[in-house]
Amino acid sequence: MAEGATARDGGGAAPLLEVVGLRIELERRAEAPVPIARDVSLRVEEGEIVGLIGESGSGKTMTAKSLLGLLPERIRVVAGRAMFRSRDLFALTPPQMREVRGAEIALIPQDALHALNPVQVVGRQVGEPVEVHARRPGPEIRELVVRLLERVHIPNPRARSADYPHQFSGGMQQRALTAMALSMEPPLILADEPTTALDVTIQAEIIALIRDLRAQTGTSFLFISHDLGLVSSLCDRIYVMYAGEIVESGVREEIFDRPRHPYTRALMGAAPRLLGNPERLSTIPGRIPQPSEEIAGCRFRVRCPLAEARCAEPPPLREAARGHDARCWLA
Amino acid sequence: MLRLVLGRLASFVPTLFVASMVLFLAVNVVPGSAARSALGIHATPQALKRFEHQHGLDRPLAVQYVEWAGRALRGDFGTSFQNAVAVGPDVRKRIPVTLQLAGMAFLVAVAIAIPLGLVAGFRHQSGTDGVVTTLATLFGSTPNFWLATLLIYLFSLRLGWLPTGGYTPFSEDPVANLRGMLLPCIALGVVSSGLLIRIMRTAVIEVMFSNFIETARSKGVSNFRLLTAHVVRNALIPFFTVSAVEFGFLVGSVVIIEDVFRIPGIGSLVLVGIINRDYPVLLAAAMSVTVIVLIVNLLVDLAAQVIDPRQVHTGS
Repeated sequence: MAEGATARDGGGAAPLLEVVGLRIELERRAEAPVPIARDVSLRVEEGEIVGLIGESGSGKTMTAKSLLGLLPERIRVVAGRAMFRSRDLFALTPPQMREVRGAEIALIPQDALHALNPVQVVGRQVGEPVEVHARRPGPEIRELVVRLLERVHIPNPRARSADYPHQFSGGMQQRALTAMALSMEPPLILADEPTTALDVTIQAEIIALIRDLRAQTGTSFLFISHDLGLVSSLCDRIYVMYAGEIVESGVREEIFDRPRHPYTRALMGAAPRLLGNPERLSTIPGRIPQPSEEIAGCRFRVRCPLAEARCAEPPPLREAARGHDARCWLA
Repeated sequence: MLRLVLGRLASFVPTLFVASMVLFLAVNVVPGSAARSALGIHATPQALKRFEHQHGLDRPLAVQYVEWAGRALRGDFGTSFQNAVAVGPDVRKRIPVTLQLAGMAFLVAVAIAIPLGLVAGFRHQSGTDGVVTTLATLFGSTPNFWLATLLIYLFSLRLGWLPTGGYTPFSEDPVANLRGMLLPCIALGVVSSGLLIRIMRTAVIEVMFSNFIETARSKGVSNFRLLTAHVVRNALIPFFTVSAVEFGFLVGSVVIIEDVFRIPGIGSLVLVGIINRDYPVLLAAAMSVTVIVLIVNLLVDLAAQVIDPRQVHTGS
């Protein structure tokens, strides 16, 4: 993709994070590698909450993991760069990457219920980034942990920091993980479906927490989710990912009021809304293609209600309106 | 914790009861005559009859069992057919010997298995993993009596560093005791470590795929810290639980090793009991082995509890 498109309205200062032309592949024995992410470009400005949405299997989690060098075995970044504070994250050596993790870019992991070490007290884990990166004295770290837990609204934080994860509720575990990500006050936090395992009221709490934190600290978030409702209430800008590709991007209002890509429109139709007729909850026909499936042209074509002959040609991601890109011939 | 210990101790009762019946049956089903063994091949049929009557061997098995069990409950395990020596005190004297041997051998096995399994699991599918896995197979498939013989040849006969066998009580001469125990413990421990290495390796691999390991990585922890702060303790929980089973096998191997090194423990008593069809000796020795295995299983489970905070808290 043309670099000009991503740098378009950066407003002068370089974005905090700018991913350009990222391609991630799964290596296979004796077979051609399978692309997991194809030509993904995205940026996160200082203090911005950016949403990355798509169905499971769209490559959004792998995209986030690649930024921290946490891709599973045999899955590799084969092209592209990720400029973060004028350094390419993909070019860092393992020790350099360890310096970035937790200190400059933190992760709020998916599945709070399994993301904490079951045999270590919560406080120790929340303070671990500081212990690893800042090497401050133990009592000081413990005080910081208490303040962090307080900030994410854990009641009685001093006592609770000595609890084990199983003594925390799911929502509290998620808040502890959020506190952990905040501990080094990193400029960027990747939140990978941070509320999926939680019930709705706790979801709302976490979302409010993220919003507050951005307001207080100016931390940027890359918020990954399959839940349009969540993303719409939280994010400033949104990238929609389908089958390893960014298919639409733009500011929140543009995406929600004037979605251009049929996939985004279908996603919005599939999102249950409180108002409107619940009987007519439309789901997207078919399923997301396997990464190994080669589909000529637009990868959404097989599920698209509007597909026509020219869709057999791959559509480029192009500007459909100001600050609004879509990868569709019809946009 | 206390409730767990009491509960487990209570469960020993039915276990021991069933074990004693199985043992009693097995001992009596084995072909060969106790009377013939005790009196020799020239004994007259009348003498054999008299011997069997004297020891109640001509009565129905069920009656024999009830009588034996009744006396055993009172701590009376009868006297040896061979030399009319009381069995109970003899067994009691030998238990510490076997406990020391099995315990130290188990420590050797664990000391080999934990670091090797940790490295292999952490560097899963690497060259190191291949070497360790091969080593584990080699250790596990080595017959311990063969290894014992090899060790004696090397360290006792060729190098003359350690005794070829025999036993000195620890209270008499600690150094001599440990010197004597070293080779048998290595022979038993190395062979047992074969399985334990694999158990540890599997446990580590399992932990490495856990979400919380990725969380730790995302915080920028080094590999060393990842291992020490996050992997080891989690991997030890399943390791200890499964290794208790291996301890049972290890105690079984003690029988041969005690014979090879002429160590006067329970194992050599079992062997003598089998060869001589000396039922009281055999039963008492085998039952004490059962008790040892049960107690060690309990201890190992307790160790796993101490490591795993989830279990401690759910109990309260």
